[in-house]
Amino acid sequence: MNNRFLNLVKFFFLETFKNKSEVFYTMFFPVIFLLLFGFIFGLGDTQHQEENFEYGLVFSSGYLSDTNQSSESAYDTVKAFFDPNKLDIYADNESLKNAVLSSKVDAGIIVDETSKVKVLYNSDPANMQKITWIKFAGENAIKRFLYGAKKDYLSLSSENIGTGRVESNQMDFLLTGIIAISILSGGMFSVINTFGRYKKLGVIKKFMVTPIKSNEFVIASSFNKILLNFFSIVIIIILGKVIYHMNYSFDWPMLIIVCLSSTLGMMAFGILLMVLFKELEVAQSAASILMTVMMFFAGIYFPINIIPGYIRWVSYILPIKYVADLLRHVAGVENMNITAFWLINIIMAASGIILLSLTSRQLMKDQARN
Amino acid sequence: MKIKSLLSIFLKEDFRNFIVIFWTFVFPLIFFLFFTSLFGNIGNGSENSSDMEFRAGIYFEKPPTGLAKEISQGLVTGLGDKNSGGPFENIYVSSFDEGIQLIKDKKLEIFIVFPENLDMLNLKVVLSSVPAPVVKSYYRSDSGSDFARKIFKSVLDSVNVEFYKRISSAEYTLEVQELNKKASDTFSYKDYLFPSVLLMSILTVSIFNTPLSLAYSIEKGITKKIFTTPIRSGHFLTVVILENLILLGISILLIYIEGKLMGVSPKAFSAKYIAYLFMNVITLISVGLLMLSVFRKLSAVNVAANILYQLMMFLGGLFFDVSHTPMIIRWFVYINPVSYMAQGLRNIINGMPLGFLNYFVPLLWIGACIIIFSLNFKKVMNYE
Repeated sequence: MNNRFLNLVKFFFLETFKNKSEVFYTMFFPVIFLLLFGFIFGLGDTQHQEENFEYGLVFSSGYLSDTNQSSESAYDTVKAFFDPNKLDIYADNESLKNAVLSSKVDAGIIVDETSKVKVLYNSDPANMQKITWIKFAGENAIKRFLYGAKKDYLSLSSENIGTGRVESNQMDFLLTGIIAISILSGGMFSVINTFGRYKKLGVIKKFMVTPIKSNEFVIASSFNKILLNFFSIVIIIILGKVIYHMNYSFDWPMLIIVCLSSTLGMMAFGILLMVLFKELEVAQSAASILMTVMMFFAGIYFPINIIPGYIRWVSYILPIKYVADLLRHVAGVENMNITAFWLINIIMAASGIILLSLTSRQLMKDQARN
Repeated sequence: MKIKSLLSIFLKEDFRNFIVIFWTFVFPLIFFLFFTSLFGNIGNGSENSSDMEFRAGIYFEKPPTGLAKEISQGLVTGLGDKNSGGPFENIYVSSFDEGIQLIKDKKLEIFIVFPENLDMLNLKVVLSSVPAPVVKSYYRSDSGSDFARKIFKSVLDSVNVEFYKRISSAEYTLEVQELNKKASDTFSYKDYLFPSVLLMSILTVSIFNTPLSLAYSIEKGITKKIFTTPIRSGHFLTVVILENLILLGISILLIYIEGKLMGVSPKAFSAKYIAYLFMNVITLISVGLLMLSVFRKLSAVNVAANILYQLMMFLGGLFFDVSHTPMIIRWFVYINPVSYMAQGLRNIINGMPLGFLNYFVPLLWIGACIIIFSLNFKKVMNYE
């Protein structure tokens, strides 16, 4: 029995690594997502938070003469109010408008002789996610300059409450989210692709005429998917450290447990889709839709808090949010109640094992009927 | 006649293929509907704040009096109380430790502590040399908490400006003007997403369907069998391109019908928009053919198509702003024809003219792709 099972594992292992597409999709495709989203939402965004916008400014000659300022002194003074944001001075309104429209500056400000301040911003919807912060920071800076508000009446000091073992930032949160997506997509797609392919090639039918039990077949074929998924996660963690200088401090035994339980849960979900939709292509499409929904409802790329209330509940019923929380805990990014940690792991693993066992039997039965 | 018969066979096969039907016709429609429902409120102004939900913990180290009391209450109200349609639910906590525990337990997005010396504010109004009381805000690294921190900082900044405004003799009026559209227009997420969905659909057909169906036919020997008939390689290529253009035409038509039902701007139905869209179709079909000249093996085409699809879509500005990404990936934004196409289509909807680059970059891609594919044509079709 043991020997048979080991041979089966070896067979699936070799078969998986001979299939270059599968290795690519499980191990390297998530890396592309890491690089892509890491730069788009991570480094790109930190460059563009409230401290680092770029403004353009025009003072009308009327304003300067009314306030008895030379253009040089007014410009020198106003720059300090925009600090640490960058301020560029423009000669006239038209060149400023063009700079705003061509995105050379995030917003333009015109102070005219009638004490009117005009804030211009590019209403390109691509800017919508950050435009609120651009307007707030720009409007406050120019108002402070005009009213001579050099000092605060009420100061603010902000402190990041580190809830984990390491000092973390938003990038750490983002990357743990991306790892969660990798685990989920790896687990779900690997079984759909593998079982779908075996089903099409008639491999399952052939195995069924041997003394191999359905559970043995499923466990052996799933085992190397879990292994492959784990390799993928290790690659992502190493790249995250090298490229983004992440502050992770992984508890590796716990990480293995999280990967195992989450992958099991998602593999079961994948097989469930196979049983429900029968055809490989249909199951793949359903899985893709599910992944798209999960990516946007996970609170990884933008806060769950801004999703309209009537559909926010979707975030709480999808596993991705919980897997991301587990990963953040084992990465030391944030602490988690230990009971909740084990409870989620047990639920994921148990539902995975139960679903895998039930659905694999169903899958075999379906094959036997055809 | 030969072409017509082959085209009819290919199209019948496509319409029997679930994957083709789903990804080419159904997915863009679901995507458009889903994301318009999800983010339809973005940019609509204050009304969307009621959809947000943040919890702010408030703690006073000492109950304030006089002006300090009014200001601190104004500050809390300024966050926008959930009960009055704002984005915050303000929770008063009885101790500092309780607030810290709540934020650690993720039961708050932000914890605001008003200091013991808040009453100094009463004195500071008349004596500017008095040090300003320091309000402390505690937050976590997650995006929701950081979002709440930014809102609070902005509200506090406004309060400071308001102080100076009240004592200043100068009077300034502030006018905010949106460029890129008429003042009467309101922002519409549908109009923003519509070109993205159209381009996504074109990418699916041109980067996946066209090169993959050609590579499949070549690798599986279908072309060899077909070429034993009077059909030549040129005919075959024409049929595959026509087949995909027809599929794309149907897909675009369905997206337009959905767009019409959802009230997308009439400018998206203008001849200029449709003509520019057609140019985009030709450009991306050419890119698909270029890919086939570089990677001929079916598995390699499949992998390359997946990578290129993700890169062109996400670094083309279809869904997020990519103009400020680090240079390590921004170079791709600059050479990606989709960046210029998306901008061009949005310019037309926004009533803006198309720039030189909106034409030049796609045309450059068409030219380069067609030349490279023509030079490799025989090799690609397995002639040599």
